[in-house]
Amino acid sequence: MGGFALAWIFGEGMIVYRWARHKAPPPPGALLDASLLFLGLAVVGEYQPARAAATLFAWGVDVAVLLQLIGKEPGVTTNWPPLCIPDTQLMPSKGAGVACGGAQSAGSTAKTTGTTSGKTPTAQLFPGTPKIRPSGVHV
Amino acid sequence: MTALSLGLLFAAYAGGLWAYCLIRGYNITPAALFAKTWPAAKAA
Repeated sequence: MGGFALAWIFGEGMIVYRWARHKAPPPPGALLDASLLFLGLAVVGEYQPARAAATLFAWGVDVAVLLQLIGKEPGVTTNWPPLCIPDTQLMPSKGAGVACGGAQSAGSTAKTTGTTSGKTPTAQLFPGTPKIRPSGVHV
Repeated sequence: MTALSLGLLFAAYAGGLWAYCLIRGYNITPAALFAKTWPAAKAA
């Protein structure tokens, strides 16, 4: 069964390689069709007389797909990385994503506006709290 | 035996990837894992 396992790894590897070129992991859904095909072939291969035919068919599919793919750029939009879970939710939900790193970008904006005013930057994280100057004198 | 290990590996990959997305805070539902591509970036 080593030949069949190699054919399976090679087949899935082609899909993973094309996704990896876009610096994104393939979603399991992209591997599902190939996995189901090889799963069916593995079941057929459990029957001893059909094992060689299943292995040969698996390698045949690999070669056929490879010949189709060679020299073609994968024109897929990966959408990776996906949107993040909103702060108001604990678990992922359908269609409610927000852009990742929102709090971080807000912090960097505040820092930029503080330094471009020409004055000594003061830290006021929350409105209403006393400003703290670098000298430590509370205003 | 090969079929079983193939199925287990696929399930482990799907589960592991979902756990990775959850840890990174990505809004990926288990159902969205089984689409052909990742969900389109459409901010709410």
